[in-house]
Amino acid sequence: MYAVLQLPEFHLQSALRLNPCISWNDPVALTKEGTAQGTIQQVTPNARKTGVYPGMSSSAALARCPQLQFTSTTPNTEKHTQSTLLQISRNLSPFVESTALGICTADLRSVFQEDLHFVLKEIIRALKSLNLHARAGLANDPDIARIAASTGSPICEVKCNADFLKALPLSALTDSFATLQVLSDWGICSTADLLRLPKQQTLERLGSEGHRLWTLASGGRARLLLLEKDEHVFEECIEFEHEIETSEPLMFAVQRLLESLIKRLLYATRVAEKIQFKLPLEEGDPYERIFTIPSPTLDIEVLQRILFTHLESLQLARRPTAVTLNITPTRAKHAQFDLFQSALKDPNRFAETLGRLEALVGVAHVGVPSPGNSHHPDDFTLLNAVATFESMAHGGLAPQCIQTTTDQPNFGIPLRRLRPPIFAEIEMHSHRPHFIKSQLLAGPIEESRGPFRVSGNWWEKQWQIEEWDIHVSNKDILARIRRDALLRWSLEGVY
Amino acid sequence: MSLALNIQPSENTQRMEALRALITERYGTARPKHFRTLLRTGISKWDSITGGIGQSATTEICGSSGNCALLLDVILQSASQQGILSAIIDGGNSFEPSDYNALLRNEMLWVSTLTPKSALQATDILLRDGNLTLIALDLHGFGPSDLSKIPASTWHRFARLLEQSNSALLVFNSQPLVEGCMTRITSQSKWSVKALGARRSELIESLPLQIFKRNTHELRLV
Repeated sequence: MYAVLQLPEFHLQSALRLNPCISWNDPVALTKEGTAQGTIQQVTPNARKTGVYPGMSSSAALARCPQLQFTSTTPNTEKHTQSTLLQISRNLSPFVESTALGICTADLRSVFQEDLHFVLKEIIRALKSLNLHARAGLANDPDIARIAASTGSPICEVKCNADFLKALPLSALTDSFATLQVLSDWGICSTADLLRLPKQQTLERLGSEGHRLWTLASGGRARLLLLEKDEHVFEECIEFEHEIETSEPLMFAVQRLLESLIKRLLYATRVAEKIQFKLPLEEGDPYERIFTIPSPTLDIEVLQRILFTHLESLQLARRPTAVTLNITPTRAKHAQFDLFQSALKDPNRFAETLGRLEALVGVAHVGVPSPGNSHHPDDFTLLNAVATFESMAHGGLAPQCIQTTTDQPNFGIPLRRLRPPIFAEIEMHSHRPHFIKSQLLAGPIEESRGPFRVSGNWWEKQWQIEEWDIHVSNKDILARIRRDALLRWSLEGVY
Repeated sequence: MSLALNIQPSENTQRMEALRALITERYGTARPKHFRTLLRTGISKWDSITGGIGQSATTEICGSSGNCALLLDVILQSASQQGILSAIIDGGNSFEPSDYNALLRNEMLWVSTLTPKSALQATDILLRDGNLTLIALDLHGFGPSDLSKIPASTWHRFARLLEQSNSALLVFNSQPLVEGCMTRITSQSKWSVKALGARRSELIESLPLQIFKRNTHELRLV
């Protein structure tokens, strides 16, 4: 048994799928430009009811239906629609063929075939929730199932191929106008008439198309399906008619894309692990950003907050012409009761908070500090807090921090470092600092401790940096000063 | 000139007493809030008097830069040992990670800010988040003139946020600043250069602490 899912008026449905302003139930026509110019390519059922048909000129169509709206589609949009159709149809069977644009065939021979009608209804309902209106056909031949799908409303099951085909007009079997015209001239109007013709002579006169038609009319040929690999590509794109200048319409478009992608993930039983956000600009390279979801989820509010927090502070030099979201899916994590509990109560919320903090103070000023693998003063890197806290919850230290656990500073008072250090003039007396003069601190040095010779790199010949701890008596302040390799003094920090 | 400006301080106090008496008569005696202890600091005097750092409340620590840094180290170390995630909002970008206990670096978020406004905004964001339990706001990097511009309502807003969460807020500052804090610790000892070579545990033990605890209306020295 084979099932075929078909999206009638595929190009038009692709154009309307992510358009919140026009629906499938409105009278809409597809033209090349998306305006009332040129020839109409496809129409919605309600436009057809008013007498508007493909092939008409736009002006003639408007004369018949003044409420008619026009739209256009792009290859990208159609690609994503086809991908959506394939992903949803994988709920029927893992063996799926992308037969043509808007048509996919599922091989049901090796899958459980109970309640197929119910499953197909659910799939059609799922596609409808994604703003796609589908029809389905069931037959024991893929080509017959395709013909059944084109006549289905919404599901058509073929029990006996011969009986089903007998009643069909020839136009249901082929789109070739030339072949139909020749057959019509011969007085052949139905499949039953066609089967009365001898096969060999039909083939000689009509060529390969005639052969295909005859074979189909005689009950089909069990062809092999060209199966599609399940690549789990969850990508959606909206191309703007005009470049946008503010973040509100962009947020609206992002929300629309996210809603569609989340529904697709839901039907594929996956959750979002990463979101790639791409904005092609009117000039130059596109703007790209990847958001890692700390705790993979399908919660639209969480994903929306992560994206919107970024968009609120986003400033671009050029206007975006489109927006693309690509979600990397993963399987949802399940933990038994509190086993493998996270260190953070809500990792996604925390990631969002980090985003807000980064927007407030800058990316370089937020993180978990980890000392660098050197003895350079003020050498540290900032680790991602979510990843570090999460790795801690699963059994210990972040890899970058393991090296530092042995040298715990248990002496003295922690320093408050001045970033950048302040230039200072130091008077020396008996090889010890005697007086300091700087922008922050000036006065006689009552006590000093040092010199502590340090060097960031052990392979250097000399310990070139010299540090002193000093007590400035008139201010009663403890401070650290440093002399570098060029004999310049600076105030490093205060205690 | 308004009437309020003519009121003498003694008159003001009398009015306040009268108002309190009226409230007590109508609604009964106000009871001090009982805060649960979030973290025992490891400093015996502090822990014996207040039980440690209170949950859902603000603790203000006033003192010289070095004293506050020592107390911060002790607190963060205790938090680290108890598996409490903490954050330090470093006013003035002066926090030196290598001078603090290495283990705790894994469990501490560092947010360095350059203005009091951004420091307070970062505190607000973290308090609303609720993922981190201990939030330390270090205002030592800012001058008194900058800090005097912080409106008192900020601390009340933080108090309201804390009431809704299990977090604790520590504010480190040179002078008392936080109105409505549950506990205020002051420590004004001076150090000599020799202290820089002494064991940190010995320095903590010799640190003179004055502990003020809120008793219904006001902070009282305990």
